[in-house]
Amino acid sequence: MILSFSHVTFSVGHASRRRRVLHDVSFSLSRGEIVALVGPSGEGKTTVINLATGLLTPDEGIIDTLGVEVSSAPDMNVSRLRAQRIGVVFQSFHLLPRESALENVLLPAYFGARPAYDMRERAATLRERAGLEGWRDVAAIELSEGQRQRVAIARALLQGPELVLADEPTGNLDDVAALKVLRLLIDEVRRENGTLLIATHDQRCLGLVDKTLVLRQGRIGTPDTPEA
Amino acid sequence: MIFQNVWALARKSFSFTRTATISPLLSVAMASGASLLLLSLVIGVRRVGVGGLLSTLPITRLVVGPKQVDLLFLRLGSSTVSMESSAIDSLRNIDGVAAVWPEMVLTMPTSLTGNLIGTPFSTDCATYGVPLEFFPPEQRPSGFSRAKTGEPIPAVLSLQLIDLYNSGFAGAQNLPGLSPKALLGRHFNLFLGTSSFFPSPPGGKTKWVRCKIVGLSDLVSVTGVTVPETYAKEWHEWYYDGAESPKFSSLHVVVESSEQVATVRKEIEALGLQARSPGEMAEKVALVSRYLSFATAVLMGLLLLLAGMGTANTLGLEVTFQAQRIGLYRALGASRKDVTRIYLLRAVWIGVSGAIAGLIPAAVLLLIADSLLVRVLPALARLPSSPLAISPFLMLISCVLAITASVVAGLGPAVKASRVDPVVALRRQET
Ligand SMILES: Nc1ncnc2c1ncn2[C@@H]1O[C@H](COP(=O)(O)OP(=O)(O)OP(=O)(O)O)[C@@H](O)[C@H]1O
Ligand SMILES: [Mg+2]
Repeated sequence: MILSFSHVTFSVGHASRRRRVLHDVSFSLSRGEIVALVGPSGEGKTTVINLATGLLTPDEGIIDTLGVEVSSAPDMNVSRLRAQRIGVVFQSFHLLPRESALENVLLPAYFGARPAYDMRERAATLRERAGLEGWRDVAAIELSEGQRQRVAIARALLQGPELVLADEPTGNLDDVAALKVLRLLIDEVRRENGTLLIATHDQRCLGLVDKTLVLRQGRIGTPDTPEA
Repeated sequence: MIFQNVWALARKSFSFTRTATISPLLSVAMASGASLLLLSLVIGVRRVGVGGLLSTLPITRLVVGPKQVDLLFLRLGSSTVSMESSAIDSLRNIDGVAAVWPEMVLTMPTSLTGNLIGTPFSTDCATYGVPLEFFPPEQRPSGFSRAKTGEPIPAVLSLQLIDLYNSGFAGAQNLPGLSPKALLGRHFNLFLGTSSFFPSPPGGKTKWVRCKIVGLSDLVSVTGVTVPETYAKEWHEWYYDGAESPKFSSLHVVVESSEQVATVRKEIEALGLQARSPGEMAEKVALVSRYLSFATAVLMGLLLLLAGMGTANTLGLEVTFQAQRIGLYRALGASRKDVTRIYLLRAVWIGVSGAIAGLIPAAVLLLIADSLLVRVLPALARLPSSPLAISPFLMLISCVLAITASVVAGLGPAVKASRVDPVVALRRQET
């Protein structure tokens, strides 16, 4: 099992303003699966990803990511997991705006166990596969949205992660750009034998994935049985 | 995270805040530079004062004189304040007194002429006579005893006189300074019964004797020439024909042990005499040096505090401004400890570069000041060759102190950085 949520409950806010976002969510991903997590905006897709990487802690339930129980493991272990075995494409890229595409792709290598410099070649290769060979010295902030998205994907793949979590990778891209980004993501994950979870509300994704999970009113279902 | 990556990331993050770094760098530089200057000065003063001056002072010796003896510099010619020889006996009877060595003063006018390094020289002076035992064993000038007939009479001059001559007269007249060594063995003529203030009356007795400088001492009077007691007695007899008893300007009392000094001193004062102790001066110098050390410690503490505040302030701002970057690092796999290390390294960097930046000008300044001081102060014959303490050890200490201040101050911001919640930080602004 690559990722499993069992009976996960999560709330935000304090005291009287406390609101439950996820109710008793359970699902799992097997090795090599390409899965879409769909649901309307604000339903908690990003929250699911943050829980999977251990950046958020659930109120209840158990989250097992690559064999590590991220909700209870020490910070060191969870951090190492994020650094070396999980790749995340953030919803809004989160690139370092003034640094080049290459430096952005290379960033996760700094948190690994080897000198980041050793990974430069791989970073360059990934950047080129993402179609950014002509954009060596351009700061991230000067790239188009689609280009930035591709840099973010290359960055997520740098360490050859076993699990890739992509949050709205098609964002507000047009059909052509969205398809290009999705193809890149899926092809690269497949090439590295990874497992992929795409959180999206974009119907264009659905044809490309093995399985679809639906998040609605804080609960997980499948497209066939919307109310689990 | 391996160190090499922490370092690379630290440099990467901070290249954006280079200008903001100038102020903490300056404050750390100030701290390390000023610490070095202060330490060198204070240790230099201690060395000169405690090590140089005080070690030569015999603590168990009391200098006893008449009550108003502070008119030391007016004791020229026959206008000398003095004591009768009966005082010697009363002092010998005090419990705890090991010996009393009188300093006899000639009450007739005396003066001297000589040739000091090519310059003819003539002055009024006082003439004193002391027994050889007047000098503590390790300070006894050799040859200070009765000379053979025809040989010059051995004389001792005050070491302070040379200091006074060098810093006052020689400096003002642009003459070369005197060193104790250059004076030893020189001859001069001592005139008895006459001086420029008190020329000999018609038919008055006068004569001159040839003298040779055999020593310089801290213990003899600053105003004149000191010869063996036998000569002084002889000349007194000759001048007054035995009608006057000898007079004493001071009596040096050697106390058996340093613990008895205070009680002996009280008894001396009960006799209506005044006792000065070289130990008293030692205490004063020690007190001044202790005060200096304390003031330095306070000042250094303040400077280090300022340096720390500079670092803490800049790093605190950096952490606030870079919250998103920190959040991203955390989301990409930096642990809390890694983030702490990045910012601590930053503090170390500020500390080290600031300390070195401060140390270099301070060391240069110190060397210049030292060479200037050596030139300005040749008059003080007992100074060590370098009045400021210049040592690599002190440089290391000031560096370490400044770096420590910076790193300790960096702890707060570093911990604050490690507590940045990546989810909150990344939500704040969507790039
Ligand atoms: N730190 C937080 N403070 C308050 N509310 C939060 C916080 N994080 C998430 N939420 C709330 O949790 C809910 C789920 O948010 P989340 O970002 O997971 O939604 P999403 O499905 O990713 O939406 P979108 O498709 O728009 O990205 C939202 O209603 C949001 O307001
Ligand atoms: Mg979202």
